[in-house]
Amino acid sequence: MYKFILKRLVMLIPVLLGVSFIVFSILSFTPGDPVEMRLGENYSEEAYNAMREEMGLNDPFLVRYVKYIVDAVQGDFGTSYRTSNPVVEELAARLPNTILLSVVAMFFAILVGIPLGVISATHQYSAVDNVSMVGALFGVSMPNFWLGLMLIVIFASGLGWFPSSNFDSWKSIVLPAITLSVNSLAMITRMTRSSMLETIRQDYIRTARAKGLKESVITIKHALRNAMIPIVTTVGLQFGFSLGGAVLVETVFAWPGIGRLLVECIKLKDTPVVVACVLVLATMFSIINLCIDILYAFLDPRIRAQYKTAKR
Amino acid sequence: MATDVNKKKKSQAAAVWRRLKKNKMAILGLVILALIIFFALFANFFFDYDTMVIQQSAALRLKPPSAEHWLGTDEVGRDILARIVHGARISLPVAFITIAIATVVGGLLGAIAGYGSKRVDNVIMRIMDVFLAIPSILLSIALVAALGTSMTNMVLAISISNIPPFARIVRSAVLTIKNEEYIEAARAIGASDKRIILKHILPNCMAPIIVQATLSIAGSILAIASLSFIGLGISPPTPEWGSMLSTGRQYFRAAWWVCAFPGLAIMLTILSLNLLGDGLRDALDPKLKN
Amino acid sequence: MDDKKKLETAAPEGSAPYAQAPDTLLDIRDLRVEYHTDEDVVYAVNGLDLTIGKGESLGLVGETGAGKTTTALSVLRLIADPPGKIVDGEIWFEGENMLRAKPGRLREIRGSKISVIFQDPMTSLNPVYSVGDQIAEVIHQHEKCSREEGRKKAGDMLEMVGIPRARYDEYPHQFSGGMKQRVVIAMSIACSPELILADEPTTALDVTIQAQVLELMSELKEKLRTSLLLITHDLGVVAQVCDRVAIMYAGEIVESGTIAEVFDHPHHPYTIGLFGSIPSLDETAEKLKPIRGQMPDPTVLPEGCAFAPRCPYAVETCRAQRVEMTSAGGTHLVRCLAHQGVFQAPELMEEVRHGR
Repeated sequence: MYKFILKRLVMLIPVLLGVSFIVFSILSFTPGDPVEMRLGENYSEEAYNAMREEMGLNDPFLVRYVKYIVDAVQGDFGTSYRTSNPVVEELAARLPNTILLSVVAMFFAILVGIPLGVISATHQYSAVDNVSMVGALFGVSMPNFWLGLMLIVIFASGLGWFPSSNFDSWKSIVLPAITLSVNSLAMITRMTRSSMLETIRQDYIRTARAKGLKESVITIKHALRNAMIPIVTTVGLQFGFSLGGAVLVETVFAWPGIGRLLVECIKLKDTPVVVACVLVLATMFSIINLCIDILYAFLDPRIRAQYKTAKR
Repeated sequence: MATDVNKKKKSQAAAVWRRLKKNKMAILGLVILALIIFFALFANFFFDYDTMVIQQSAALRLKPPSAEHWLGTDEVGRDILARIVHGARISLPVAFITIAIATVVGGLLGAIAGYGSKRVDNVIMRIMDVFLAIPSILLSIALVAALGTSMTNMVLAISISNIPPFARIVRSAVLTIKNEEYIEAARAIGASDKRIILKHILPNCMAPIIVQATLSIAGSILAIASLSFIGLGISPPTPEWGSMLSTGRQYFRAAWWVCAFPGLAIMLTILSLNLLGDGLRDALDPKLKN
Repeated sequence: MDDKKKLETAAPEGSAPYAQAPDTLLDIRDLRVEYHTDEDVVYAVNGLDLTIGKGESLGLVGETGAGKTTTALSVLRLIADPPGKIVDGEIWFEGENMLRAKPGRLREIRGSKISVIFQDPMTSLNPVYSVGDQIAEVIHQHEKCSREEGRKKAGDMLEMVGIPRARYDEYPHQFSGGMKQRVVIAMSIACSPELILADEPTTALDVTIQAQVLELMSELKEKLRTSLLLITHDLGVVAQVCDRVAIMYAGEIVESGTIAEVFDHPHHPYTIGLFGSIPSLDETAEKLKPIRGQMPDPTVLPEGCAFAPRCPYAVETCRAQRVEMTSAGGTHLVRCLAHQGVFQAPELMEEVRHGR
């Protein structure tokens, strides 16, 4: 098992190198002169050349990339063109907010979505099922930034229950978290329902019923446990999407997270911060996928056995 | 021989259509989508572009929905309904083009990976893995950021971020079909690789591609709106739904309609495509249906 | 809901179960089960009567689609609803009508007094729990005992069916089909039930394994003095394990009796046909005589005798009138107009006299 985790961690390295290479090369071709951004309006030619040399921009592309990676591994993602602060500091200030927002949103989506999906499946074609499936359909189709705006109109400007921007109390997280969770909530509900419908038709559910178990025990212990694999897969994917979605939701709610930082820095052409933001988000995405793979093993002894025997 | 094949295809399509017709939700999606496309095609007939969509009017600023302006007017006095209808003329074709590009490129890459040597397969699929490791909206944002904000660059960015799923679908379809007897038979009578891919393998993985394409167009519409919303896509005064939301943001606390309706248009379009996509999946693969 | 009402009126509250032999354990009367699909109604069981005595084992034999499994599942009300519905009848078990039992009471009976062995051991065990835990689960459900006691008892059960206790913590995917069926059997005997419903327990297994599992079942049946309803389409299996046999066709019993009665002198043309269609080693074989035709479409059953369309002896009357079971001597019952003397079928009588 540990071997498997270790192997997957090692396999993560080339993927992340690839991601960093793509992001780094994409953004190296960004138009605009970073030196000018650092120096501002008035500068001498010597100062310009000195700065260019200092920033390593005279080196060939590959050298710059390798240098970047070597530094990045040591925790140095360069210096922001915009603020001249180390990029790491900028990220450190924002990253926890994004993680908090995503985790709260996913927690909400799981807590509501799975029970809703289970009830929909065990009461197929009932009122609860119909309402939650129509709701889920809208939830999947809804642009989250638009939902955010609508929630602000209703609950912030209209009713005044929650603040619409910034982050100063627990109330501030309510609207952005709901906004960010809606797509995931809808997807998780749909997946839970269809996966449960699949499992409750299985023979072992009939066996469980023939044992005299209570319906609730049959549903949760026997059916849901078996239905979890696709649900967990969806949760993982949605977690990843929510990191992408955070970019928009943070923009709507002026949430001081990494997504908003990313958008600001793209507009200001602060390339080092942009590269770092994308890298961090992609890394988190990959790590979540890894966690999902490991979770499979806990859910299904057959997969656990595969992991144990897999020799490569 | 050829007519037989055609007949068989036709009857297959008819069977799919028969199953699709039974699915009320899919038909609802199809009807909504048809209506949207209809209004987009004849937008100029309903609302004149220059006078209603672009021309500003100080007297009509931020008027709420009324008999004259069904969905109200925006911050410079333009009719929101007219702008939404004309907005469909941008979102739909752009989304369609992005997915067409992604399907062709992704499909070819997948076919090459599945059909080619182990090494080619490995190289292509590892690159796809890397692209899949970046959430697609982030990839689009990064690409647009690098290439600069323009319609073409946005199309390019969204197309690229949509390539991997198509490559995966076609590759796995190719791998399952590749060793079937009729492919071996085709090879035995000396058909070229290109011919085998185009004539035998691609038609056989059309079903998952159609489903993925329908759902991806929905995703692409969302991506276009998202990019425009954060100012990296289509910029005003072009009546794009996301950019309408973006400019509307400054006024929507006082005038909710400037944001509410463009968002509804996005949702309705995505909803119709999702319904159709789900319906197509069930109709094309009846085994999967509960 | 409506169907429930119908049941209530069919057997009003307080009406005593009519005369039941003291040693009868299970008594099914006039059971009717339907499956409702979008297009039509499948009449799976149509007025079935069946009794099983204490300690007795009954073989229920019939073709695929005759309604055997539906009958067994009805006893514990395990039919999926929708689409299945028990529309009429009574199922008396130890003085209780199972069809009117409250859900809580039903759960007490399931797994403890009546247990089931399903057809396909590959799918009837939950893949994510260890086999031992799945056996212990039924013990904990019906008996008050500590975790250790449950574990010990489940281990005993495993040993009783010939699986080493050491495999308690292994998962179903680590077992072969025959071993899985042993686990299912262990699960079914864990609470010492009065009655075991075994639904084609060996059909899904290899022929060599079939014999082992059957042997195990007969052995356990003797040891535990449990009643058994064995569903099968294999007459050989019935002869090996059962005391009595009931032949089922299109949702009703067409012939029943002791093994000796039915096997030596089958009366019903369908039963005769069944025997005629199995190869036998000791007879210098004439050609096998398969029963011609197909089972009737269960959505449109024939009006008269359900077997009439396939019956070589059938006359007009057979197609027009419902047939009741009548005695053919001893406990031997048969549902056939020819045996009621309604019409003469000398060839059939010759077959019957000749026996097997």
